[in-house]
Amino acid sequence: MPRLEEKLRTFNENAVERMPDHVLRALEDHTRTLEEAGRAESAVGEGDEAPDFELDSTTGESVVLSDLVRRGPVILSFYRGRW
Amino acid sequence: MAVSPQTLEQSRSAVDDFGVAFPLLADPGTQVADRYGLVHTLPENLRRIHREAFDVDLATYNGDDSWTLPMPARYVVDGDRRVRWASVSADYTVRPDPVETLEALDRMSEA
Repeated sequence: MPRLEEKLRTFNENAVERMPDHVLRALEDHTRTLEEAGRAESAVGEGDEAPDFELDSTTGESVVLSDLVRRGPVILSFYRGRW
Repeated sequence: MAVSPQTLEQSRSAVDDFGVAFPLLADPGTQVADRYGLVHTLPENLRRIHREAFDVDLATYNGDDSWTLPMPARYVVDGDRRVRWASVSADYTVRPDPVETLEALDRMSEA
């Protein structure tokens, strides 16, 4: 089964093919701005304390990180949206 | 669990779309993502592009017109709320393989 990296590369190549140049350039420029500012490196990372939070969940309850980690390690993902 | 700036309603649609088995959390105005240092704002040209080229209006998905988004990130957090593994992408097209995350969990249970 192809690894995620491979699947993403194929997906991105197809998406890029359909994109007008000015759209691709604008997206790449913005990513480059984040990279040059070292944004990924300055985010919370390995060894840091994960800031606590309480957020509403699709399960209907609210989730508090510090409560959840008591039950075991938590995989916490941030994503942009379903679009 | 996965956090996004989408409204709870949009998050519930995402659960239906993708059949996810874990909770999706709503982070309005990217306030929590901001505490993690992940937030950036789309400039005006990209806002126009998202609306016109992708038919994506973030005001609809996120319930506000700030056009702020998190850089994609995945963390493994332990019982002391310490981050034991992290992957943050400035490039939203790049994501870590789940195998890496599972290996990090394995290392934690061995220790």
